[in-house]
Amino acid sequence: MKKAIFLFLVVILSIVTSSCKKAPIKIGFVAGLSGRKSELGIRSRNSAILAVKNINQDGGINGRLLELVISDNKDKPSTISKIFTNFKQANIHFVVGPLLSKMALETVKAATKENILVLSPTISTTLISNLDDNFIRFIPTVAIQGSSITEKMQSDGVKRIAVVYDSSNKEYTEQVFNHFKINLKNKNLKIVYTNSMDNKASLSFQKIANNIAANNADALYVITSGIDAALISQQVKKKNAKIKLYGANWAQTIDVIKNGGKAVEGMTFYTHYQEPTKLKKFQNRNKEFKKHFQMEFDFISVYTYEAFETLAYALRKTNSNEISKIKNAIIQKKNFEGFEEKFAINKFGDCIRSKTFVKIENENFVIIK
Amino acid sequence: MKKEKSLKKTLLLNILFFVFIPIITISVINLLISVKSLKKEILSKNITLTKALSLQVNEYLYMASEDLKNINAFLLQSEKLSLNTKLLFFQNVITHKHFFKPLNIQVLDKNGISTLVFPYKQEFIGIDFSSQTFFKEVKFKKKVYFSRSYISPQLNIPIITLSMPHKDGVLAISFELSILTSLVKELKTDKNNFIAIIDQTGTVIAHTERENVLKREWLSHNELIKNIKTIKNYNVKYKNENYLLIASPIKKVNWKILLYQSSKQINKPITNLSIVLISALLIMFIFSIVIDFIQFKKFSIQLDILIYIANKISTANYKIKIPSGTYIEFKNVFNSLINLARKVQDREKDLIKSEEKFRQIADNINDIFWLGSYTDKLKFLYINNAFEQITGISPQQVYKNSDFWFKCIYTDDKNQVINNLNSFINNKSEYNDVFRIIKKDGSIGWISSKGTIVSISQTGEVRIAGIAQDITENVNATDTLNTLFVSLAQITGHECFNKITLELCRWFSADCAIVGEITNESRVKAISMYYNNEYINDYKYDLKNTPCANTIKNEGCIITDNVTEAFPHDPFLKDMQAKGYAGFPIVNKDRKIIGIISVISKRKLLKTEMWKEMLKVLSARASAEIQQIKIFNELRQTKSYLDNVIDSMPSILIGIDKNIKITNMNKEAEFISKSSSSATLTKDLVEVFPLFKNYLDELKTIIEKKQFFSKERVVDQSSGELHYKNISAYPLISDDYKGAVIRIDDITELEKKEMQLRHAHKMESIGNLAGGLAHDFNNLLGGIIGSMSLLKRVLGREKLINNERIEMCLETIKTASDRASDMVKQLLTLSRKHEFEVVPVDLNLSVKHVMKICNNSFPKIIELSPEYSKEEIIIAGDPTQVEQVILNVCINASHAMTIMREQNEQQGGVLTISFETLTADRHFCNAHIDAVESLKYHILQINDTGVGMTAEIRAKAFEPFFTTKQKEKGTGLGLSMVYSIIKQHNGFVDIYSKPGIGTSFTIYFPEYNKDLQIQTIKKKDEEVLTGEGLVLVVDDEQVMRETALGILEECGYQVLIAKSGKDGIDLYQKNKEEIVLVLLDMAMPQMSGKEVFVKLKKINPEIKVLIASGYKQDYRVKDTLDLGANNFIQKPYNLESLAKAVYNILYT
Repeated sequence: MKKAIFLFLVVILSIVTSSCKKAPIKIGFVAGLSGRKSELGIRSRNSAILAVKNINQDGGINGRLLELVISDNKDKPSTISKIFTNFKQANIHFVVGPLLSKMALETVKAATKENILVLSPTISTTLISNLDDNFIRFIPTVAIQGSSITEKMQSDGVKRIAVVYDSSNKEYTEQVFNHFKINLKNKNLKIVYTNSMDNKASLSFQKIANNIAANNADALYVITSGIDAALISQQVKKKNAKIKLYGANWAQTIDVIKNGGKAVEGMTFYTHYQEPTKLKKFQNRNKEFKKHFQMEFDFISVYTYEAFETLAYALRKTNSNEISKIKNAIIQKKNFEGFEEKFAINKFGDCIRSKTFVKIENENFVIIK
Repeated sequence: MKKEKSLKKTLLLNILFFVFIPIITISVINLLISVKSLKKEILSKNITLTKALSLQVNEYLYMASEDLKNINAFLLQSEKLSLNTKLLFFQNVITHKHFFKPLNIQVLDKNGISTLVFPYKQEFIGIDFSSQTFFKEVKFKKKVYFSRSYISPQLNIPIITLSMPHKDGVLAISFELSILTSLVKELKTDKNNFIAIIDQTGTVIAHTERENVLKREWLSHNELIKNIKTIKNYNVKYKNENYLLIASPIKKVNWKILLYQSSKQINKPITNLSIVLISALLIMFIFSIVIDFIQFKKFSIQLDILIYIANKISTANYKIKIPSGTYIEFKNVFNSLINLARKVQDREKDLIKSEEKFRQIADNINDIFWLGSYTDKLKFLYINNAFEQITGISPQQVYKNSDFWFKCIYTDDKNQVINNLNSFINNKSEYNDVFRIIKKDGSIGWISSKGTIVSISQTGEVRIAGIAQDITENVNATDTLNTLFVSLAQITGHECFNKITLELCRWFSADCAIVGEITNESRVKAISMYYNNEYINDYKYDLKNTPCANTIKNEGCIITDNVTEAFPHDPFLKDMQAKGYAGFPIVNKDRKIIGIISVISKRKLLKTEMWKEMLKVLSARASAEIQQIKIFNELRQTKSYLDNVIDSMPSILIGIDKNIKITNMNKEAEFISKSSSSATLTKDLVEVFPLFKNYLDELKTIIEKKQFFSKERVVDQSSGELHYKNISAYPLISDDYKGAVIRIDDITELEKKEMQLRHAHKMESIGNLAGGLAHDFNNLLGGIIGSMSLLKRVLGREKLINNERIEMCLETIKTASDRASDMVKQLLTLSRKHEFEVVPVDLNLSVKHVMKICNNSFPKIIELSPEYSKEEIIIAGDPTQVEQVILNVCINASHAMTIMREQNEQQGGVLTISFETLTADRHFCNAHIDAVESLKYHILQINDTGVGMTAEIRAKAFEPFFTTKQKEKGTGLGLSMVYSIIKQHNGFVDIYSKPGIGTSFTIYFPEYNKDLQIQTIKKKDEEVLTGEGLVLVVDDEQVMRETALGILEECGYQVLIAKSGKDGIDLYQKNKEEIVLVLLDMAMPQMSGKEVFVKLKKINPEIKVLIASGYKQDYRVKDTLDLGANNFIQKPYNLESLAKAVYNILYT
């Protein structure tokens, strides 16, 4: 009789425990996955998939698995509010993304409204710097690169500069351009031509190249996406093979190399990202990334991966899904081991990384010594 | 305890098990077969669909690669054709294609530079594609390459690039893949499935839902099917739903076709089937349960009856009836049980008869009779009624628990009983013991117990029988009391009291006993208290509401029971939960009650005939002891008091016997003789105090004749120093003892103090004399200095100052006046009326300053040897005055080592200065009349090795105008000033000197007190301030009046002069409207400045008055300022100071 009861209890217990298996922790991911500039979003999303897979393989968060809920913002800020409402309804407290600075203000607004903690891999606008909000980012602010690049231009002997920036992401590009302009003062540098790529319908990179050549520019500063930077560079180099090329961080992707060919060789960036090709951790992830997605593990992938690792750390540490605890855990730890080097998150959730000049050399980004 | 199995439950479970298992097994097998067959069917259908789709996509890819090859062939052949022709061809190809539609064509040279593009745009020519993967792949592998799919930036649709070698470059064509989405949409058979095509990265390039293509959804199932070579199926989860996934590879491009069939859909018929089966199962189950339950119930009732009958037999109820209609097996069991019951009943009857006989015998015995068995513990089998009669414990209680037996044994005897019992059982001998028990009435009784072993079983169980007899009355005897009295007689004091309380507790078997002393009428202080086996100290209690009050009132009291209830307000009784009490008063020889002796018990007290006798005798013993102790204490106090009186006397007191040997002496005598009282006992008086060697006869006489003897100012140099002493001796008045008391008073310090006082008075008189002279002289000097400063200004203004002669004369007057002023200051110093600034002064620093002067001015044959203190030595004083003191003493020392020496003597010597600090104690104050007890003094010691002084010279050293130097070398004011300044600093000075050896000045200054207000020195303002208005000058000195007139007129004021207070008041009355200020002298004959001020104030309460005097510290000045005078100016004043004082009152 006792044995029968015991067996019965064992069966019941196993049924109960199997049904009480810990529910997964849902993590939202938002990026532009469709549209002309979706390449950036795809890379970030793939990195998110890889990160979640690896975190789950390592036992998840204290026994609970992560579940990635992906959402496409179509690169339009107007979509953010609804996406975040949906996330909230799906009981999601943490979101990785979005990627473009033009999403920043809407994202901060929606995150505050829905009480969701946002970890953005690449939003770098200073518009939301030094704010105690629900926003943590893994890329430093853009401001300094615009000014630092002028120093480099001056040392390179540049005199006449053409600037092409993409006003569709003006929260980023205009800030970079403004800092660039401010720092030109008191230097023997002059902007001879500017194009903000306003009219996409009639946009012709050849025409832009013609204008640059007509203004005798000896340098071009492109504050655009990687593909645009590559295509502009191709046209510009056809007109003037000696023109010196400078790019903003946004363009520092594998796209600029793939689409730019030899035309982009020598393009210089003032960047917070130096590809850590020699590091074992990076090599392993790069190999894994290529195997899964036939893509390079570039800075967008790296920062996305770091965002997930950081979030996982905080979740493990606090064993809670309260966003204030998670945020505090990240801010209190402050210093993190990244792929390329250590990076820090300050009390406002802004990221601090060291910066340097790199240039494209033999289809690679190499540090200028 | 292991739970026994229930037959009924076992039967029930078996029935359930055997009915249910076959039904379930059959049902499950049936279900599984059905499910398998259904799944197979659905799978087969879907595989067919997937295969078809796979073939179609392969076809498309083949067509695309064919297009690429055709274009390549065309381009190779048509090199010489025009660009337009080529473009036309391309247009043609694109227009007629229905599968993968080419979007653009690029012809790249060997460097990856575009040479031809379609649709044609000039700007796309010359673009570098060398970094693109497709270019590298083709260049390297020299074969057709299918790129991974990507979204066209322009068209926002998935595209793929096919490329192949073209000449030494590359030909690349981009195809759009949207046809794939159309294809999968067409093939979608129902709403529960969907089809997707993923590229080599797992990214969706075709999907039933087009949005998933645009979002470039990544299907994680790619991991699962990555390496499949043929079509395969899986169970997967997608968006929280279960699907059957059929995946088919497209090897050429490593794409996969995925068909997701909803598991819900597949399982739907299976679920329906399961519901039917389970329903049937349930109906069958319920039916069989009902049948089984009826059968079970019938069986169960028979079983319950059987259990009921068995229970009846076990409780000796043998009336049993066999139920009708039962199973035959049950009927046999019932019959057997009835037979068994009858036999048991017969045996029980025999046993009861036997037991009754035994009980009748045993219960009639007065002593306790008992039977027990012992294995590991004694267990009582039988005890007769006598046990309950003696102990109050019923035998039934003991049967249940043998420990009840031990409860009645007196605590102290328990171990003895246990040990004896154990020994008896272990040795298998006879048991014989006597011990105490607590009887039914709470009293202690004595028991004599005997026992023997009846039998020992094979299991080791020992059967014992025994008898116990109550022998209490035999044991209580009087010998205890006798022993107690003997032992008490041998001890005294506290030991005696403790013994009394201890024995009382024992004797009465009580818990507490007290011997207490009545401290006042209502309180008792325990001298000894024995409670709970220990002595309690310092216990006190109020008599009120206690049985002790009754004891005192009734001369003895015993309450055998319920004492707490009788005295509910006695906290001690309440805490203790006392029951019995006995007490007896302690009376002294005058029959006065001085204490109480009492006994308290938590149990009933056994009232014996002897309780009162016992308490009475012990009370008498306690009384004797208390009185003895009291007498002893009084004696000790008296002696201590007398010793104290004698020791407190400042005089030396010595007791001697008739042989003039010391019998006693006080502390002062010990201090003076430097030996203790005990060490000097029986020593000869002269040996300890040699002073008496001349008075031995006198001492003997006074002892014999009982006369008084005294001697004053006896010189004693026995200590090496000169002392004056008064001696007196008194004979002892007792006739039994011959001896005397000697008193010695040291009057040396008294003598010294008188001398100091005389000297102080002398100095005071001389100082006052000099001060009075100085005051008059000061007034005259005021006139000279004031006039001189006025003259100098007038001459300066009249441009006559260039007259060198006049200027020289004025300078001479000024120098002479300044010197005169200095002298006046010195004289004023003597009269202690000179004012000085009091600030913290570091004596170290002052000595350093003086040493600097001495170094420059003293002959080099004088060696200066100052020893500075490492710490700051701060006093309150005027730094200049202090330095003056040090300088004057040093100059004197220098003279003593040089000019005072004889011509033939060696000149020079050593001047040493050192510091010390002490706190004045009583002895110090006795020696120094000016010293204040407990005050800290800094001592400045200045020694020289000069000619020294005789006692006579030393006595006069500080007198003004007394000097031993040649006339031109000394004024006789130097040391007078030193004395005066030190006095003004609340200090004092000692001189020690010996002719030919040297002199030592010891100067005492009180330590600086931080609370002292520091007067700050303001810088003089030399500017002459002018003004206007009428000023009234009131001064009895003509010189001063004229000086003031000149100065004030010089400063722009009009001046009225009054030579007395009365004149001043009259003049003010007449001119009160015009007079803006009155300059009023303080020291005037007839009417003083203060009186004049009071009257002027009455005339005009708003009057402005500047008072002038030679002494700032004069009480009249202070009083007048307090009454409302505006300010004060010190005489002699000059032009600047008076102008400023007047200006400040009128204009600031």
